[in-house]
Amino acid sequence: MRIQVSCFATLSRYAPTDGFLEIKEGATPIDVIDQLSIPREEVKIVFVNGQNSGKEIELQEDDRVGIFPAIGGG
Amino acid sequence: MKHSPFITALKKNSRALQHHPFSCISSSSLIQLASAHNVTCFQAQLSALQNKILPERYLRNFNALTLNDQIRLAGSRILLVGLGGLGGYILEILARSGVGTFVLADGDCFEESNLNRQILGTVDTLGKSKVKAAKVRLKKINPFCRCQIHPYFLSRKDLPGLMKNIDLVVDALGGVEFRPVLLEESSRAGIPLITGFLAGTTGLVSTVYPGGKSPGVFWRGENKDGAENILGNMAQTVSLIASVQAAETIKLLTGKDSGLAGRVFLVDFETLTFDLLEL
Repeated sequence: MRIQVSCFATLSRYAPTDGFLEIKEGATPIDVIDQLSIPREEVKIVFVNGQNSGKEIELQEDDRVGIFPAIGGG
Repeated sequence: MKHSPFITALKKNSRALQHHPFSCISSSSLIQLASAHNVTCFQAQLSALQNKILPERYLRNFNALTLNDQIRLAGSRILLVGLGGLGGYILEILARSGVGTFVLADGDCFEESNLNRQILGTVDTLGKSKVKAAKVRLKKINPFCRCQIHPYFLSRKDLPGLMKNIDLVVDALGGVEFRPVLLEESSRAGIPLITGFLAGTTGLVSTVYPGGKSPGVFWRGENKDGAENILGNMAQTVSLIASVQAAETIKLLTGKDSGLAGRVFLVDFETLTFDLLEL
Protein backbone atom coordinates (compact mmCIF):
# COMPACT_ATOMS: atom_id res chain seq x y z
CA MET A 1 0.00 0.00 0.00
CA ARG A 2 1.02 3.57 -0.56
CA ILE A 3 1.55 6.33 2.03
CA GLN A 4 2.75 9.93 1.87
CA VAL A 5 5.98 10.76 3.74
CA SER A 6 7.50 14.15 4.61
CA CYS A 7 10.91 14.32 6.25
CA PHE A 8 11.77 17.70 7.77
CA ALA A 9 14.95 19.71 8.40
CA THR A 10 18.08 17.51 8.34
CA LEU A 11 15.99 14.44 7.51
CA SER A 12 14.71 15.91 4.22
CA ARG A 13 17.52 14.14 2.31
CA TYR A 14 15.93 10.80 3.22
CA ALA A 15 12.51 11.72 1.84
CA PRO A 16 11.19 9.63 -1.08
CA THR A 17 11.62 11.69 -4.27
CA ASP A 18 7.93 12.05 -5.14
CA GLY A 19 6.81 12.09 -1.49
CA PHE A 20 5.16 8.66 -1.66
CA LEU A 21 6.32 5.31 -0.32
CA GLU A 22 5.13 1.73 -0.89
CA ILE A 23 4.98 -0.14 2.43
CA LYS A 24 3.88 -3.62 3.54
CA GLU A 25 0.54 -4.22 5.26
CA GLY A 26 0.90 -3.72 9.01
CA ALA A 27 3.98 -1.48 8.69
CA THR A 28 4.58 1.14 11.41
CA PRO A 29 6.47 4.47 11.39
CA ILE A 30 9.53 2.57 12.69
CA ASP A 31 9.41 0.39 9.55
CA VAL A 32 9.14 3.53 7.41
CA ILE A 33 12.17 5.04 9.18
CA ASP A 34 14.16 1.84 8.53
CA GLN A 35 12.96 1.54 4.92
CA LEU A 36 14.20 5.10 4.24
CA SER A 37 17.54 4.31 5.96
CA ILE A 38 17.05 7.12 8.48
CA PRO A 39 19.20 6.50 11.59
CA ARG A 40 16.59 5.78 14.30
CA GLU A 41 18.36 7.91 16.90
CA GLU A 42 17.97 10.98 14.67
CA VAL A 43 14.17 10.78 14.74
CA LYS A 44 12.65 12.62 17.71
CA ILE A 45 8.96 12.66 16.80
CA VAL A 46 6.63 11.29 14.12
CA PHE A 47 3.18 12.61 13.22
CA VAL A 48 0.64 10.43 11.43
CA ASN A 49 -2.13 12.43 9.76
CA GLY A 50 -1.13 15.41 11.89
CA GLN A 51 -1.35 13.46 15.17
CA ASN A 52 1.50 12.55 17.51
CA SER A 53 0.54 8.86 17.44
CA GLY A 54 3.91 7.33 18.37
CA LYS A 55 6.21 5.27 16.19
CA GLU A 56 4.47 1.93 16.59
CA ILE A 57 0.98 2.59 15.27
CA GLU A 58 -0.12 0.45 12.30
CA LEU A 59 -0.21 2.60 9.19
CA GLN A 60 -3.10 2.63 6.73
CA GLU A 61 -3.30 3.30 2.98
CA ASP A 62 -2.92 7.04 2.16
CA ASP A 63 -1.70 7.95 5.66
CA ARG A 64 0.46 11.10 5.87
CA VAL A 65 3.62 10.59 7.91
CA GLY A 66 5.82 13.52 9.06
CA ILE A 67 9.25 12.74 10.51
CA PHE A 68 11.31 15.26 12.56
CA PRO A 69 14.80 15.46 14.07
CA ALA A 70 15.83 17.56 17.11
CA ILE A 71 15.22 21.25 16.35
CA GLY A 72 16.12 24.13 18.65
CA GLY A 73 17.39 27.08 16.64
CA GLY A 74 16.25 30.63 17.27
CA MET B 1 -16.54 62.84 39.62
CA LYS B 2 -13.64 65.27 39.90
CA HIS B 3 -10.61 64.28 37.84
CA SER B 4 -7.01 64.73 38.86
CA PRO B 5 -5.23 67.66 37.15
CA PHE B 6 -3.36 65.11 35.01
CA ILE B 7 -6.55 63.45 33.73
CA THR B 8 -8.11 66.87 33.10
CA ALA B 9 -5.02 67.85 31.07
CA LEU B 10 -5.15 64.52 29.19
CA LYS B 11 -8.77 65.13 28.21
CA LYS B 12 -8.01 68.69 27.16
CA ASN B 13 -5.15 67.54 24.92
CA SER B 14 -6.98 64.65 23.30
CA ARG B 15 -9.12 64.86 20.21
CA ALA B 16 -12.38 63.09 19.44
CA LEU B 17 -12.51 60.65 16.54
CA GLN B 18 -15.55 60.03 14.38
CA HIS B 19 -16.84 56.45 14.51
CA HIS B 20 -14.45 55.46 17.29
CA PRO B 21 -15.42 54.68 20.91
CA PHE B 22 -12.44 56.68 22.20
CA SER B 23 -10.54 59.89 21.61
CA CYS B 24 -6.83 59.95 20.86
CA ILE B 25 -3.68 61.76 21.87
CA SER B 26 -0.29 62.08 20.19
CA SER B 27 2.70 60.41 21.80
CA SER B 28 4.54 63.73 22.06
CA SER B 29 1.63 65.38 23.94
CA LEU B 30 1.37 62.40 26.25
CA ILE B 31 5.10 62.50 27.04
CA GLN B 32 4.96 66.29 27.67
CA LEU B 33 1.96 65.96 29.98
CA ALA B 34 3.58 63.06 31.85
CA SER B 35 6.69 65.12 32.41
CA ALA B 36 4.73 68.24 33.46
CA HIS B 37 2.70 66.23 36.00
CA ASN B 38 5.60 64.12 37.24
CA VAL B 39 4.05 60.87 36.04
CA THR B 40 6.02 58.09 34.30
CA CYS B 41 5.36 57.54 30.60
CA PHE B 42 4.20 54.03 31.44
CA GLN B 43 1.66 55.28 34.00
CA ALA B 44 0.58 58.14 31.74
CA GLN B 45 -0.29 55.68 28.99
CA LEU B 46 -2.27 53.45 31.36
CA SER B 47 -4.21 56.44 32.72
CA ALA B 48 -4.96 57.67 29.21
CA LEU B 49 -6.25 54.26 28.10
CA GLN B 50 -8.35 53.87 31.24
CA ASN B 51 -9.93 57.25 30.44
CA LYS B 52 -10.76 56.15 26.89
CA ILE B 53 -7.92 58.09 25.32
CA LEU B 54 -5.89 56.02 22.89
CA PRO B 55 -2.30 57.02 22.14
CA GLU B 56 -2.38 57.69 18.40
CA ARG B 57 0.43 55.19 17.84
CA TYR B 58 -2.09 52.36 18.37
CA LEU B 59 -4.79 53.73 16.05
CA ARG B 60 -4.12 51.15 13.34
CA ASN B 61 -4.39 48.31 15.84
CA PHE B 62 -8.09 49.16 15.97
CA ASN B 63 -10.35 47.28 15.74
CA ALA B 64 -8.33 44.09 15.52
CA LEU B 65 -7.51 45.23 19.07
CA THR B 66 -10.21 47.03 21.05
CA LEU B 67 -9.60 49.72 23.65
CA ASN B 68 -10.02 47.06 26.33
CA ASP B 69 -7.44 44.88 24.59
CA GLN B 70 -4.99 47.81 24.58
CA ILE B 71 -5.61 48.34 28.30
CA ARG B 72 -4.86 44.66 28.95
CA LEU B 73 -1.69 44.75 26.83
CA ALA B 74 -0.45 47.94 28.50
CA GLY B 75 -0.89 46.31 31.90
CA SER B 76 0.81 43.04 30.89
CA ARG B 77 4.24 41.80 31.91
CA ILE B 78 6.13 39.27 29.85
CA LEU B 79 9.41 37.46 30.37
CA LEU B 80 11.22 37.19 27.02
CA VAL B 81 14.18 34.83 27.15
CA GLY B 82 16.59 35.24 24.23
CA LEU B 83 17.08 38.49 22.28
CA GLY B 84 18.68 36.97 19.19
CA GLY B 85 16.79 35.96 16.06
CA LEU B 86 13.34 35.24 17.45
CA GLY B 87 13.53 37.58 20.45
CA GLY B 88 14.44 40.68 18.42
CA TYR B 89 11.41 40.38 16.16
CA ILE B 90 9.10 39.37 19.01
CA LEU B 91 10.13 42.45 21.00
CA GLU B 92 9.63 44.66 17.93
CA ILE B 93 6.08 43.38 17.34
CA LEU B 94 4.96 43.33 20.97
CA ALA B 95 6.38 46.77 21.77
CA ARG B 96 4.70 48.31 18.72
CA SER B 97 1.45 46.52 19.60
CA GLY B 98 1.46 47.99 23.11
CA VAL B 99 2.61 45.34 25.61
CA GLY B 100 3.53 47.37 28.69
CA THR B 101 6.32 45.63 30.58
CA PHE B 102 9.18 43.46 29.37
CA VAL B 103 11.62 41.44 31.42
CA LEU B 104 14.43 40.61 28.98
CA ALA B 105 17.20 38.08 29.47
CA ASP B 106 20.17 37.13 27.30
CA GLY B 107 23.87 36.85 28.19
CA ASP B 108 25.04 36.97 24.60
CA CYS B 109 26.69 39.73 22.55
CA PHE B 110 26.20 40.28 18.82
CA GLU B 111 28.64 38.66 16.44
CA GLU B 112 28.87 38.92 12.68
CA SER B 113 27.21 35.55 12.01
CA ASN B 114 24.04 36.94 13.66
CA LEU B 115 23.61 39.63 11.01
CA ASN B 116 21.81 37.36 8.52
CA ARG B 117 18.68 37.31 10.71
CA GLN B 118 18.81 39.19 14.02
CA ILE B 119 17.01 42.51 13.72
CA LEU B 120 18.79 44.01 16.75
CA GLY B 121 22.17 43.04 15.30
CA THR B 122 23.65 45.85 13.19
CA VAL B 123 27.15 47.04 12.35
CA ASP B 124 26.76 49.40 15.32
CA THR B 125 25.84 46.71 17.86
CA LEU B 126 28.50 44.11 16.92
CA GLY B 127 30.26 42.98 20.10
CA LYS B 128 27.58 44.60 22.28
CA SER B 129 25.10 43.00 24.67
CA LYS B 130 21.89 41.80 23.01
CA VAL B 131 19.61 42.86 25.88
CA LYS B 132 21.24 46.29 26.09
CA ALA B 133 20.65 46.74 22.34
CA ALA B 134 17.06 45.59 22.95
CA LYS B 135 16.57 48.25 25.64
CA VAL B 136 17.87 50.99 23.32
CA ARG B 137 15.57 49.81 20.51
CA LEU B 138 12.58 49.56 22.84
CA LYS B 139 12.96 53.16 23.99
CA LYS B 140 13.17 54.31 20.36
CA ILE B 141 10.06 52.50 19.19
CA ASN B 142 7.83 52.81 22.24
CA PRO B 143 8.82 55.04 25.19
CA PHE B 144 5.63 54.00 27.02
CA CYS B 145 7.02 50.49 27.63
CA ARG B 146 8.92 49.55 30.75
CA CYS B 147 11.77 47.08 30.67
CA GLN B 148 14.08 45.31 33.03
CA ILE B 149 17.17 43.68 31.53
CA HIS B 150 19.23 40.69 32.66
CA PRO B 151 22.45 40.61 30.61
CA TYR B 152 23.58 37.11 31.59
CA PHE B 153 22.78 33.52 30.66
CA LEU B 154 20.01 32.28 32.96
CA SER B 155 20.29 29.17 35.07
CA ARG B 156 17.42 27.27 36.67
CA LYS B 157 17.86 29.05 40.00
CA ASP B 158 17.32 32.47 38.38
CA LEU B 159 13.92 31.59 36.98
CA PRO B 160 11.54 31.59 39.98
CA GLY B 161 12.61 35.15 40.86
CA LEU B 162 12.27 36.39 37.27
CA MET B 163 8.84 34.81 36.92
CA LYS B 164 7.28 36.74 39.82
CA ASN B 165 4.30 38.80 38.60
CA ILE B 166 4.86 37.62 35.02
CA ASP B 167 1.78 36.93 32.88
CA LEU B 168 3.48 34.98 30.12
CA VAL B 169 6.89 33.52 29.27
CA VAL B 170 8.16 33.67 25.69
CA ASP B 171 10.86 31.15 24.80
CA ALA B 172 13.07 32.72 22.12
CA LEU B 173 16.16 30.70 23.02
CA GLY B 174 18.68 29.25 20.64
CA GLY B 175 19.66 25.58 21.10
CA VAL B 176 17.77 22.68 22.64
CA GLU B 177 19.33 22.41 26.10
CA PHE B 178 17.81 25.21 28.18
CA ARG B 179 14.33 25.05 26.67
CA PRO B 180 13.10 22.13 28.85
CA VAL B 181 14.33 23.96 31.97
CA LEU B 182 12.46 27.15 31.04
CA LEU B 183 9.35 25.10 30.29
CA GLU B 184 9.48 23.19 33.59
CA GLU B 185 9.98 26.35 35.63
CA SER B 186 7.18 28.20 33.80
CA SER B 187 4.88 25.27 34.49
CA ARG B 188 5.94 25.22 38.15
CA ALA B 189 5.21 28.95 38.40
CA GLY B 190 1.78 28.41 36.79
CA ILE B 191 2.59 30.61 33.77
CA PRO B 192 1.84 29.78 30.10
CA LEU B 193 4.84 29.60 27.77
CA ILE B 194 4.99 30.27 24.05
CA THR B 195 7.91 28.57 22.36
CA GLY B 196 9.37 28.90 18.86
CA PHE B 197 12.18 26.81 17.37
CA LEU B 198 13.61 26.33 13.92
CA ALA B 199 16.32 24.97 11.67
CA GLY B 200 17.02 26.21 8.16
CA THR B 201 13.66 26.68 6.45
CA THR B 202 11.63 24.64 8.96
CA GLY B 203 10.05 26.34 11.98
CA LEU B 204 7.60 25.45 14.74
CA VAL B 205 5.57 27.26 17.43
CA SER B 206 3.62 25.87 20.37
CA THR B 207 1.86 27.18 23.47
CA VAL B 208 2.22 25.23 26.68
CA TYR B 209 -0.14 25.81 29.61
CA PRO B 210 1.10 24.63 33.02
CA GLY B 211 0.93 20.84 33.02
CA GLY B 212 -0.25 20.78 29.40
CA LYS B 213 1.19 18.91 26.42
CA SER B 214 4.56 20.18 25.27
CA PRO B 215 6.76 19.84 22.21
CA GLY B 216 9.68 18.93 24.53
CA VAL B 217 10.50 15.79 22.57
CA PHE B 218 11.91 18.02 19.79
CA TRP B 219 14.55 19.18 22.28
CA ARG B 220 15.96 15.82 23.37
CA GLY B 221 19.74 15.87 23.31
CA GLU B 222 22.45 18.47 23.59
CA ASN B 223 22.81 21.82 21.82
CA LYS B 224 25.11 20.19 19.25
CA ASP B 225 22.32 17.76 18.25
CA GLY B 226 19.86 20.38 16.93
CA ALA B 227 19.34 20.37 13.15
CA GLU B 228 20.09 24.13 13.13
CA ASN B 229 23.79 23.33 13.57
CA ILE B 230 23.77 21.81 10.09
CA LEU B 231 21.06 23.84 8.36
CA GLY B 232 21.64 27.28 9.90
CA ASN B 233 18.83 29.74 10.70
CA MET B 234 17.26 31.63 7.82
CA ALA B 235 15.81 35.14 8.29
CA GLN B 236 12.47 34.28 6.66
CA THR B 237 11.94 31.37 9.03
CA VAL B 238 13.04 33.37 12.08
CA SER B 239 10.78 36.35 11.32
CA LEU B 240 7.74 34.19 10.50
CA ILE B 241 8.09 32.02 13.60
CA ALA B 242 8.59 35.16 15.73
CA SER B 243 5.43 36.66 14.20
CA VAL B 244 3.40 33.57 15.09
CA GLN B 245 4.78 33.67 18.65
CA ALA B 246 3.94 37.37 18.93
CA ALA B 247 0.42 36.81 17.56
CA GLU B 248 -0.15 34.03 20.08
CA THR B 249 1.22 36.24 22.89
CA ILE B 250 -1.22 39.03 22.01
CA LYS B 251 -4.09 36.54 21.92
CA LEU B 252 -3.33 35.16 25.36
CA LEU B 253 -2.65 38.56 26.95
CA THR B 254 -5.98 39.88 25.68
CA GLY B 255 -7.84 36.89 27.12
CA LYS B 256 -8.53 35.06 23.87
CA ASP B 257 -8.21 31.30 23.47
CA SER B 258 -4.88 29.92 22.36
CA GLY B 259 -4.89 28.29 18.96
CA LEU B 260 -1.69 26.43 19.75
CA ALA B 261 -2.20 24.81 23.15
CA GLY B 262 -1.48 21.10 22.71
CA ARG B 263 -0.59 21.79 19.10
CA VAL B 264 2.39 22.75 16.99
CA PHE B 265 2.25 25.24 14.14
CA LEU B 266 4.63 24.04 11.41
CA VAL B 267 6.08 25.95 8.49
CA ASP B 268 8.50 24.62 5.93
CA PHE B 269 9.52 27.03 3.18
CA GLU B 270 11.24 24.33 1.10
CA THR B 271 8.06 22.31 0.59
CA LEU B 272 5.68 25.26 1.29
CA THR B 273 4.11 23.27 4.10
CA PHE B 274 1.89 25.12 6.59
CA ASP B 275 0.30 22.76 9.07
CA LEU B 276 -1.15 22.40 12.59
CA LEU B 277 -0.03 19.20 14.33
CA GLU B 278 -1.62 17.69 17.44
CA LEU B 279 0.80 16.82 20.26
